[in-house]
Amino acid sequence: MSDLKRGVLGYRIDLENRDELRNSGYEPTVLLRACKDQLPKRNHIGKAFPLLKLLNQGNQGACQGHALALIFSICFYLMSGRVKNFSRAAAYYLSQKLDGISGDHGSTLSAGKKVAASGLCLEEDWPYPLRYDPLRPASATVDKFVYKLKTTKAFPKTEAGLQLMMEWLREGLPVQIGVFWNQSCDREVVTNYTWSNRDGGHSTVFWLFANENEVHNNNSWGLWNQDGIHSWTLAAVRQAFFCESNDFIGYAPDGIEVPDLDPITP
Amino acid sequence: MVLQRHFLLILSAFFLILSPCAGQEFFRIDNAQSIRTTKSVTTSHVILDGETIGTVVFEGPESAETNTPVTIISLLESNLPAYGPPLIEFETLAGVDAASAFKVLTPDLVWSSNKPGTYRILATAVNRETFRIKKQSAIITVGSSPEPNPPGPNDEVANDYHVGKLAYRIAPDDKSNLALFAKTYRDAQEFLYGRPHYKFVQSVQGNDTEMNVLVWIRNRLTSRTCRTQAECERWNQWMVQINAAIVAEQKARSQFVVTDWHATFGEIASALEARSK
Repeated sequence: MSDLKRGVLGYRIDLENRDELRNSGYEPTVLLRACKDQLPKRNHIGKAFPLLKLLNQGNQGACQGHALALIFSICFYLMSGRVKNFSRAAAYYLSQKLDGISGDHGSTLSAGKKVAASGLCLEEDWPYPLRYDPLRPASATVDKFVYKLKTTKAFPKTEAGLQLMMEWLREGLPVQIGVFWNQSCDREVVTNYTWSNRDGGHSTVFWLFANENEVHNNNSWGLWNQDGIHSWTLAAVRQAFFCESNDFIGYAPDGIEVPDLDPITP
Repeated sequence: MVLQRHFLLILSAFFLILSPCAGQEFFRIDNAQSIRTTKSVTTSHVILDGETIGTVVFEGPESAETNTPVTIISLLESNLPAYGPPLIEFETLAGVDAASAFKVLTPDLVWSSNKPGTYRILATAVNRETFRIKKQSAIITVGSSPEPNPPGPNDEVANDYHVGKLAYRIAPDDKSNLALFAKTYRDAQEFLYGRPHYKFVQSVQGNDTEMNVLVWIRNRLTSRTCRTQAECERWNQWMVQINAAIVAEQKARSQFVVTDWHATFGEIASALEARSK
C-alpha cells in the first residue's frame, strides 16, 4: 500500500475478485428497468453536496467504504426523500473482513457488494474513528444492520455496457467506481484518463452530471477541489471504462430494505 | 288486591346483507345493510296477593323496514400464518382514536360500525420468525360522510392521500393566495425529483434549512400577504389541518416514500388549482 498515498486511496485493485464483481448479482438492465417503471424521471444534473454529507476518509484507506456509504445515502434518499448518513467505518471494516485484509490496507468493491447485500448500519451506530480501529462498537448491534441494497454485476466492458452505464447515470442513479487513480484524475475536470499500474486504486461515486457532457465524481477527500467533487468528461469516462482493471457498479433504490419510516410533521 | 304491571318491549329484527368491499391480508371489509323493523309488545301480569295469576300479551303492528349502512371489519387469521394476530385500531383521518365508533361483534375478530364518517383502520402484526412488524391500513367511509360538500367540482379532486378534498374544501376564497399555495406545492413536487435541484424532506444534517422542502414550503406560505386578518387566520388553519392530514396519512401507510410525498404535494396543488378556477 505504499503507493496508495495521493489524497488517501485504499481501493485494493490488485486484490479485486473480478469474477465475483462482474458475474454476481442482478443484471444492471433488470434493476434499471425496475427503476424506470417505478420511479419518475429525475433530473440528472446537479450536485450531491450539500444535499448529502461531505465525506472525508482522513488518513485511512477507507475510500471504498466511503463510496459505499455514500451509495447507501443516495439510494436511501432517492427512495425516501430523507437524508441519513451511513456508516463509513462499517462499510470499510466489514469489507476488509470479507476480503481477509487486516490492517489499514484498503478493501475491494466485490467485498463492498457483499456488505451492501448483507446489511449496513447508520453512521450514528458505528461512527468513523479518527484512527484505524476495526473493532465493532457496542452501539452497532446486529439489529442495526438492516439497510440492504440489491447488487448488480459490474457494467460489462462493451460499448453496450458503457451506454447502459450512461443511461443509468441519466436516470439519476449512482455508480460506484474503482479505478487506477493518477495525475489526470486530480484535475478539476478530467478530460483525458490515463492509467499506469504504478498508480493506486481509488473508489469514488459518479452521481449526477455537471452538464450533459460532464459527470460529477464525488470524492471522499473532504474539501478537496473545494467541495469534494470534480467532473469527468464523457471522453474521460469512456477511457476509464474500457481500462481492463477499472470497474463500475450501478446501485439503485429498487429493492432497498429499510426499517419503517417515522412520520414527519411538516 | 290486583296489581297490573305493564312491560313495553320494543322488539327489533336485525339483518345484515353483506357485500365485499375490499380485500386485505390482515382484515376484510364488507359493506352491509342493516334492515331494522320494530313492533311494540305489551305484557300485563295479573297479580293477586303476591301471586301471578295471569299474563296478557298485546303485540302491536310491525313497523316499516329502515335500512342503515353498516361496515363490517373481519380479521383474517389464516391469510398470513407467519404473523401473529394483528392488533386492529380505528382512528379518524386526523389521527384521533375512533374505537368508540365501532361495535365489537366478536371479540378481537369482528367489528361493525354504522356511525357515519371516514375512518382509518390500522392493522399491525409481528412476524413470528423474523419479528419484523408488518402494517396495513385502509380507509373506509361508513354511511354518508358527515362533512359538508364543498362548492364546486370537489368530487373530481383527487383524494388518494386524503388531502385533496380537504385542501379544496377548507381553502379560503382568496384567488391570489390560492395561486401562491398551489404553485408552492407544485414547485415542492419538482424539488423532490431534482428540478431545478434536489431538496429533502428530512435530514440528519439539520432540518432548519432551505434544503428541506417542508421548511421551504412553510417559509413560502408564511410569507404570504392577506387582504384581511381573518383571511390570514383561515389560511393558518388550512395549513394546520393539511399538515395534520399529511401526518395521519403517513401513519396509515407502512412506508411513506418520496413518491408518496410527490403525490401528496400534487394532490394539494391540484385541489387548489381546481378551487381557484
